[in-house]
Amino acid sequence: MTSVPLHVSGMLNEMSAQYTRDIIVDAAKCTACMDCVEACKQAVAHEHKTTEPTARISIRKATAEGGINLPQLCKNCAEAPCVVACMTGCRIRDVSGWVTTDYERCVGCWMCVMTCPFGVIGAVHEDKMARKCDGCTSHEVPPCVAVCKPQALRVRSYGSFAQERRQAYSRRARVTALPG
Amino acid sequence: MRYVIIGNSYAAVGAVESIREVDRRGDIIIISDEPYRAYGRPLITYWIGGTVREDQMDYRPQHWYESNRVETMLGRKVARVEPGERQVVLEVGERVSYDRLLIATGGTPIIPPIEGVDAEGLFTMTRFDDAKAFKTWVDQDHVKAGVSIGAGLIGLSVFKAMKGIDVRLTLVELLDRVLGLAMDYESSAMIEEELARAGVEVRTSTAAEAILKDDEGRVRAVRLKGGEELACQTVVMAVGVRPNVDFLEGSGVAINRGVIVDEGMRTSIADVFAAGDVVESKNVLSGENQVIAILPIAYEHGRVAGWNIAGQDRVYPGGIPLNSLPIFELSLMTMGITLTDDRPGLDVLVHTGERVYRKLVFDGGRLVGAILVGDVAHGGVLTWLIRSQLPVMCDRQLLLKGDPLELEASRQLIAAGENSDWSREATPELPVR
Repeated sequence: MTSVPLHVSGMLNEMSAQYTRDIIVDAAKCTACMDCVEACKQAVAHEHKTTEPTARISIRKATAEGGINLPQLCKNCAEAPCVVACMTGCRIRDVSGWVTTDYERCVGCWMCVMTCPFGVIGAVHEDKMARKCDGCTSHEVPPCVAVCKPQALRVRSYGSFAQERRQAYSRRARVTALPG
Repeated sequence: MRYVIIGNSYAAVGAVESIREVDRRGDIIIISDEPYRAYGRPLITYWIGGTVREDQMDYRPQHWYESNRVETMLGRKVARVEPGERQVVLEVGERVSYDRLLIATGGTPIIPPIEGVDAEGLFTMTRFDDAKAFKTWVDQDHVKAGVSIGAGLIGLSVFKAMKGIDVRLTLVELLDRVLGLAMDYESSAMIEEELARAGVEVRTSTAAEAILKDDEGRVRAVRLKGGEELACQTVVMAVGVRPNVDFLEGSGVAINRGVIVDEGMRTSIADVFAAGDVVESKNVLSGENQVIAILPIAYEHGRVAGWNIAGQDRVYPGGIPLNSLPIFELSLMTMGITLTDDRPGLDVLVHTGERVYRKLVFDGGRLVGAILVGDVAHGGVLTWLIRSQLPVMCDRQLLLKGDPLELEASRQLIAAGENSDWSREATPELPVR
């Protein structure tokens, strides 16, 4: 059996962790223009065999009673429950650091739908696919981020992610604390 | 360090992935009596039905074993474990020594002691080889009808397989409804309706008394309690599985129903760990240890066992029973405690619609169980509310109706409200680069 030098793959993993990105949701800046939703639909259309493509990002709009516009997409969990529960192995964290899905192999058992704590995996019954945001890792910038004018969606590497996320939360807390 | 893993399915894969996060140098040896690389076990019935090809069965990419430097001994059965010698003895007599051992042998199907279970044409359905043997058998021309003894998860998935190969199926169930251990009467009735629409006959509250054979020893019929005979040419025995622990006899590893482990997946013997369907682990709802033979728990066991086997000290927080099985367009999910008849004091909320049934079970301020049929929206949110046992702070109707966006918004508003004090004062606004 060939032995692959593990220190090399380990090094690569550490390097990719340094450069991989994550998408920050800065809800307080969201204007619910739905550009990201449209961009997402186009980007994922080729993965839908028989169904109309549905966006893998959705926005809960502010209502008259209050609240804020809240974009929802895959949060790319660390010990992702959807990977844990996937029986085919079609959902797996790839080298980009994103939890991605091989829809050719998804059989639609909805185990991941049953375990996603954020409810961002949708069951597409006709195509037997459990669709979720796969990070568009083949794009330099994910289409939803590219079209977001108010910069409510931003791409950041691990280095600045935590700090920016704190800021995003504090901005949102301020908005939601307003009356109305 | 030499890690030996007996078993090559979800728990074993989880363990390898954990070990390699911690220890890149040690040797990992996987011993399995199946001659395949780790495959998606529930896919075997999809394979029978023709929706999945054999080359799509692999659970991990082709290079997984090599890139994780895992040595495999496939197609070899373990006869016994000798912890004193730190050796695993194979049935062919070969000995494999270990520094740390993981037992991840899963479950083995229960075959009830009734007359005629040695008939040709009778199968169990937990391994790829079972599926292959079954397919070879039913592809013969004379096989027109099949009986599945047991209408649990395996029995129902056999029905899906049968769908693809044009064999008429009858499900025989001891309980008074299908999936009776997880589903209540209302939801079972919906499933039975769906099955009837697909031409599957369901016989509940009855037991198979004997398998009748023809002159050549092949399955001819199943005789039910009361004497009725169901003519069939194949039988699938799907009454349940039990932990596969027979080879541990004499090893000193403490076994109740499954292998007894502590919360770090250690058995009673030093340096021997166990994970997956073979162990009894904590059910967070009852607080008791029991065998919960489901896939996500097996993988999680494997992860925890893998970290600990490589020298870390992590704890498995416990799991809850979960089921998900789509029957055509009808999706089903059950989580946690779903049967409330003999449990007074639980609050039940039910939402019904056109081919939709959603039932939530609350114990005081906490969610303890759910049944979703037809509409499975944000089932995962419910699962994690049950598993974490955190108090439900949002509107219960939101959980019941299943609008994930509204629910998430409500949850985040609560979180934001809690955090608003520190976030306003403590986090200075920094310029965005």
